[in-house]
Amino acid sequence: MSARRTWLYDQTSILAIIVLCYLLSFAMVIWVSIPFNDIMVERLGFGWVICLPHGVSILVFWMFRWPGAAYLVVAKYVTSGVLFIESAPGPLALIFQLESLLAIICAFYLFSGLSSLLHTKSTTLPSWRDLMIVASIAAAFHAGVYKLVTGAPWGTTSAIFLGNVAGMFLMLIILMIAFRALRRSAPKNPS
Amino acid sequence: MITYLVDDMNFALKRLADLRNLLMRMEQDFGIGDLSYMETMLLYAAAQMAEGDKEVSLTELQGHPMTAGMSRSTFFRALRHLIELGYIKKTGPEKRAGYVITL
Repeated sequence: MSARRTWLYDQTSILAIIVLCYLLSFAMVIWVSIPFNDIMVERLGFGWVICLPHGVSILVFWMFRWPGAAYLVVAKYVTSGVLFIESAPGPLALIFQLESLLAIICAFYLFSGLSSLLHTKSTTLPSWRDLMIVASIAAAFHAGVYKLVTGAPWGTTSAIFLGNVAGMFLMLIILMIAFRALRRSAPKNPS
Repeated sequence: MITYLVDDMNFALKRLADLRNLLMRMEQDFGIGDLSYMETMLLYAAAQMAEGDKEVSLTELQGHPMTAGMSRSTFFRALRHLIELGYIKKTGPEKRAGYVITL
């Protein structure tokens, strides 16, 4: 296979994996998070939708940076096209897709800047706590913009924030369990 | 735009290795990790130097800052345990063995 075709194959593979992960996470929101939220609201009077796509977006941007942002734009609009095929999302919803990505980008750069300023972070080893902080900053930014644009009540805004933060945490937990299971199922080497 | 896209699959694999290390650290923080602190440091050192499929020599591992404070016996005990658990694989003949990170 020529170098150009190999490069194209690699790009397409990475993009396909990211789109699939994003699509699955969004499907989980529709089929699991929202029904769970309905039960919580009915029984407790309060709930929030655990937003797994937020976790996927944070991880993709962390892993790939600006190329990751490009992949995420494709993933978000493909997901909108596939999952909302019968009731297409309005222009505001589509704009919010981009805004949430912008929130993530800003959160990463803000965190990097603050860390440099405070000399608190070693960039050598990644930390899940750092990702959670970035996810929280991005979630706060996104919830704030949503409130400003739509005038949503504080209850809705805080639910959006909590849902995104919970989505990030749950995504990390799921990946941790999955990697642990993969590692344990791999054949061990003799000493 | 094309030049901004990921260069090759090796880059993606390196980032996947970073993700794996992050999740392992999470396991440690939650108290469910398989490795001791020394073993974790040795694995991180190997992962930093390996960058994908590149082999790391024993000398390089022993010279890494993360393993600098380890006694010789602790180092080799940790290395042996990592090999037994499948985190690291020894390659090549005994005296010139290299080590690669496995999942």
